Amino acid sequence: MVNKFSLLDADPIHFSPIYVNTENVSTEKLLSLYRFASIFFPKMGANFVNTMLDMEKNSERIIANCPPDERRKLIRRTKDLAVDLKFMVSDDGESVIEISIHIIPSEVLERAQQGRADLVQYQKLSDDLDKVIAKLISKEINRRFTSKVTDCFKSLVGIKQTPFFITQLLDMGWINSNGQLQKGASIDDLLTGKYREQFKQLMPEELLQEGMQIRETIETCFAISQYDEESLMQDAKTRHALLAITIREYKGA
Amino acid sequence: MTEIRRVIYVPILHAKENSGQPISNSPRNKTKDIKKINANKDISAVDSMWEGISAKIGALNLPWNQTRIYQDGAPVCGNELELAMRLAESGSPNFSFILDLIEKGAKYEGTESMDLLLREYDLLNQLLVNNPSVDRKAANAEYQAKSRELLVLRDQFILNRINKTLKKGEVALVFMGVMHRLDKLLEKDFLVSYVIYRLPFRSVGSIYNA
Repeated sequence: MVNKFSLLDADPIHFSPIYVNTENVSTEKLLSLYRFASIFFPKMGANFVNTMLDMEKNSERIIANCPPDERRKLIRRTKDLAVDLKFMVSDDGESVIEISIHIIPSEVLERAQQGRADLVQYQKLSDDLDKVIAKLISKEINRRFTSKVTDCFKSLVGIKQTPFFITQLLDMGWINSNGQLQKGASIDDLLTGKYREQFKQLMPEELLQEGMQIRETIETCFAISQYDEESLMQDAKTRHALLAITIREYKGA
Repeated sequence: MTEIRRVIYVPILHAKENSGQPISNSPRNKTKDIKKINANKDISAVDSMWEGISAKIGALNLPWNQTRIYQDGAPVCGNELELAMRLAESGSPNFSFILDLIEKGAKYEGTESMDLLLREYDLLNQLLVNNPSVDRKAANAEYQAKSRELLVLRDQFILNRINKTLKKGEVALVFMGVMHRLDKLLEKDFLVSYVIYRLPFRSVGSIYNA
């Protein structure tokens, strides 16, 4: 199932919508694409998204450079015009990033003229973009961590006295004879699950620490964004209780 | 030459569920014993989070008598320390930890506007009202939207507060809920560092080129 991450499911009208299919994005390929783009199209890529966000946030300032008469003319002349831009990256025929921008120039101009900058919506858009980027980053960090773990496994596979745990992982099909983790093998189970003790005995301490730190960070950063309603309610209840004491003490002081 | 001011930013969760099964997946009709066990698990998860934060902050070897603490939800009120003691007594590991740091010599600063906290309290009251006819999902969405607007104002107030009160040569130790975006505002005037990796949203390139 294609799981598209829509950045614009609410009101902003300046441009819409942006989809990033983070499940399908290979961060390795994205890196190559990023390098290619930064060499050949230095003004595209990240700058392009920044320009769009800037437009959204500072449209009022931008339009101030345009004399009122010209603005009115532009609004009149661009009425009913729509501009559609499409930016798409595909991998083996499958779309991984789609930025589809729908601009109605007269509306953009009118909104900017009226100074209706919607900072809350802008913040939401920026937060959503952060989440997509965070997801890609966490994917990349996990990939790099997995590659370090693989290097360690590789050094233990095929030696004379292969540790029992490695044989066990090979038998379970978690790793192959090159020490590579196989699809379905869980780093999480190795770090914190039932294989933790054996894993701990084999791996260097720094690697374990790094893995735990990554796990903790991702957990913390995504704990709220998971929109698990009950955990949000639990957090709200705790904050409510602390604020109730704060207000009581403040009034009693 | 302008001196670079340092901020150690600690994103916190006020409550954290047990990292195993999500709460929403647990059976609805629990016995009293299971409730008790789960409550203990929640408490231990919160405690272990604070143990981790404490160990990491300890490892920073901060100059405590030149460290000023700023805390999510702590109003500027004149009796900040008494209030922190009262909250620690109520069982908050966050405030217990702050008291430990104050004992080491850190200064504790009133951080938030009381007016804005009262507004947040009102929003939480509306969210948590025990009315079976209320659509919880809609109430939650409404709370998120209003709270987000309020957070913008709260973060701006805290930024001004840190700017005004942090003295030359001091380090700010900031404990903020993960929904705050204060660190983004602080980045303009301060050198912000984190006790856990903070995903550097603004510099994807530097990650790729690491």
